Amino acid sequence: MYASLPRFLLRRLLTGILVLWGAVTVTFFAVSAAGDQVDAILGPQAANLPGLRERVAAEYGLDRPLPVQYLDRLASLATGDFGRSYQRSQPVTRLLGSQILPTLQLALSAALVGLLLALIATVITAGRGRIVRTGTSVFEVLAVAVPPFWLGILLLSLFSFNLRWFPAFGSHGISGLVLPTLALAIPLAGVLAQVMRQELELVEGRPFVLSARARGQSRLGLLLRHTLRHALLPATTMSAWVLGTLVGGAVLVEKVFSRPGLGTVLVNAVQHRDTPVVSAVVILAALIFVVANALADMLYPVIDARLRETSRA
Amino acid sequence: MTLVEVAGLEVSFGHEPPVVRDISFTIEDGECLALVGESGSGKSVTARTLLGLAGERARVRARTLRVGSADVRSFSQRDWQRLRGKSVGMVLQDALVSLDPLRRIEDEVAESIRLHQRDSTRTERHRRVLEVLAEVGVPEPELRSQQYPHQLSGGLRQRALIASAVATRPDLVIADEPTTALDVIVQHQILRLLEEIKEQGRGLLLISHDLAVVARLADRIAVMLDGRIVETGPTERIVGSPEHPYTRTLLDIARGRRAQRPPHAGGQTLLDVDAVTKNFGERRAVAGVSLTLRAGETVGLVGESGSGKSTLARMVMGLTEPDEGRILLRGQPWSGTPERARRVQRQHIQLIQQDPQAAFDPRHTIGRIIAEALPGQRGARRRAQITELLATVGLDAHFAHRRPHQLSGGQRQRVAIARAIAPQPEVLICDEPVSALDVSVQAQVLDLLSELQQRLGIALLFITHDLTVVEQISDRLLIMNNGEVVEEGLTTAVFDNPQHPYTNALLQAAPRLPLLSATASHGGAPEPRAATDSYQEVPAVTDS
Repeated sequence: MYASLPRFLLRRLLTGILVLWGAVTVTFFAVSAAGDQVDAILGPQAANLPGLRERVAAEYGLDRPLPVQYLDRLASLATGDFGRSYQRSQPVTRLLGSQILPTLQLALSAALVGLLLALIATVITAGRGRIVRTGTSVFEVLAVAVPPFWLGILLLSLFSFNLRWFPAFGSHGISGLVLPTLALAIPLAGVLAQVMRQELELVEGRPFVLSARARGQSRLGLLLRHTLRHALLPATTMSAWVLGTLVGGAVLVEKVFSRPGLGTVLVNAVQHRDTPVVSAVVILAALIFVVANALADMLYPVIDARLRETSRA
Repeated sequence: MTLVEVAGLEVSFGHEPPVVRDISFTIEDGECLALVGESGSGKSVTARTLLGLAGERARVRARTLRVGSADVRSFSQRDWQRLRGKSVGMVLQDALVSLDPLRRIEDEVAESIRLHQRDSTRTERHRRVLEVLAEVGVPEPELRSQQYPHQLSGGLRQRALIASAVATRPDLVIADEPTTALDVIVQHQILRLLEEIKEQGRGLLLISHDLAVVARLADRIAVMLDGRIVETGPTERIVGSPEHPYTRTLLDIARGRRAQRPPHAGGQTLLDVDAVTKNFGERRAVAGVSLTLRAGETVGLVGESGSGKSTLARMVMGLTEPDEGRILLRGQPWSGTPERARRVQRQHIQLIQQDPQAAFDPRHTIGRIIAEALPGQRGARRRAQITELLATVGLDAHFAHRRPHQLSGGQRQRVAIARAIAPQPEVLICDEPVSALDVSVQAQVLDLLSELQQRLGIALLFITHDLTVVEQISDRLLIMNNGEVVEEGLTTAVFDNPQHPYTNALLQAAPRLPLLSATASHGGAPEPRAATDSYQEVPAVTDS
């Protein structure tokens, strides 16, 4: 694909920086346009003391012209200084650092479970009759159409409140992870299963499958040794998008299940117009997208040997 | 020992009329039976039925259907899996798609061993893979076994595919069009390999649409038409004194009629290629090639994969720039001019390619596809022109409403021709236009091209690897190898008196029927098949 790994990584690094810069810029101007930030800092109850606004503005550098603020923001970001939260008066990095782990936990487990569910659905329904395939299709479309938070509430009321199998809130280890994971994983499985099954059906018509069957390969053997690998290719392409949307979906699910994490932080920050925190979370999300995309692109040649840069003898 | 015994076989799909009707044949060990027929004759379905791979919806009925010594009519999936790959091996066409592109050659070849010799160890399997790769003539088996199919050349890939079918030393090998995707010399080598396999005592069922290809290998031939076997018998008899009219048709085509072309004076020079060279990095694709094309004549450009003929075609079409040399079209500079200047001239030179399906937008109707070549026309006038063009290529007007996938290969190629002649070009570049078609359909399309040329006075540059085809249609020939022109001259001169060793190799490798005299098809006494009349050693000119 690319001439070598170092060149590939360099290209990705440069485009990644470009993407991040874009994210920062858009966020900055969006937040600035959203209203006077000094009000956000002072809070709704701030007494209208004379000179307070000016002092606060000066302290936070908000009295400077906008382009200057922008360049200053870029400069501090480049050195890793994400500023201090308006709301909490903590360095943003410390605030996020403690909250990122539960979100990543949730996103990764949802990704794995989603992939697993999709694989199972694909394997079970591959090559079956029309009725089975159509039925599964309906389920998959439903799974995709259902919003994660609605699903979360449904799971919550069923499994937590009624059956009391799982805790209703908090992050008590594995059991607290099950329902939120399912809420995210099911819609994901819906999308992946559709993509994988379509690819599988396409692949099963190819001549090499006939060759394998002519050697005596069984249905299961065909799947495990031949066709599933092909079906994984489009799923790999989508994995970058998957990881990105999971991080986004985690926001809503964390709210529903009252889990700590980036989602909660972001929602609070937006409500209180805590610009530094909002910017930081956006940048973090963009970073995850960039890294996930790069990883997926690196994974592709591993699965499909035709994309490796080896010369024909 | 009788390997296959079939009597009264009928195969149908769903409620459609049977694709295979009342077929009967046997195959003994050490003999090769060829099933010959066009696409849709039912030959592939018959072959697959012997392995239970005719398809889910297939309904198979037969008075007798024995493979090995087993009655397979009552076979379960389990029974089939035990039979497939163990007593019967199958080789399909085009190893690029018949081998799993994501798996190494070793895994593909070892698959049948792994399935039928459950207690074999990894080392044993590896050893056997290397052994069988060497048997089928793959050099450096250790290296090749670790590679992927796309890393091997066409010939090596096909050998690897054959290796995967014979790894367990099956009694019967079924080869379904095993050489159709290959160059002439490589085809010859693969057929020789199959002959060796037969000589080891295995039975061989060879499926093909080309009588010339099977004639030297098959002991008996069965000709299929519309699902029935219309004639069957020993090869010598079929080739020497065919009885059924369809068999005679196939033979005529296989022999290749020497086209009665009026001697061509040659009009003005339309295309002038002057010592062009094209390099891709370090590789010289085309090295100092010159040719001229005059109005009304057909020049054949013959070469195998990698000879540079496709690159040359692209330069002639102005799609690639030569690194050295120049090309003139109708006396005007063609290569090296900006595309804007060329665009006006493009109506004078058109292209027909090998795969019409890929050359058409599958969502467009035929009418729309042809209309693309008639930009200035609208409405009724355009419709009339489309109808006229379709009629010129022998297609009915209603074809304009169909879509490419609804047409046969030959029909699609006719549409491609219609589209190409619509702007009334003076030069037509044909890049392997009939290679993907059945032999009988090839003849029809070639006839059409000849007729159009004589009527419209178009000059044809006919690029192909198939000598039989080029003999029928071209006045002059150029033979290309490794980017250079190794021989050129009048077609008859080159065929009768080849000068260059590569030309010799090509001519010897070209599949021809044992009897070349025209008298044989009129009931003359057939020549006895000479004992040495099997595959001669073709001097190795290319490495495959």
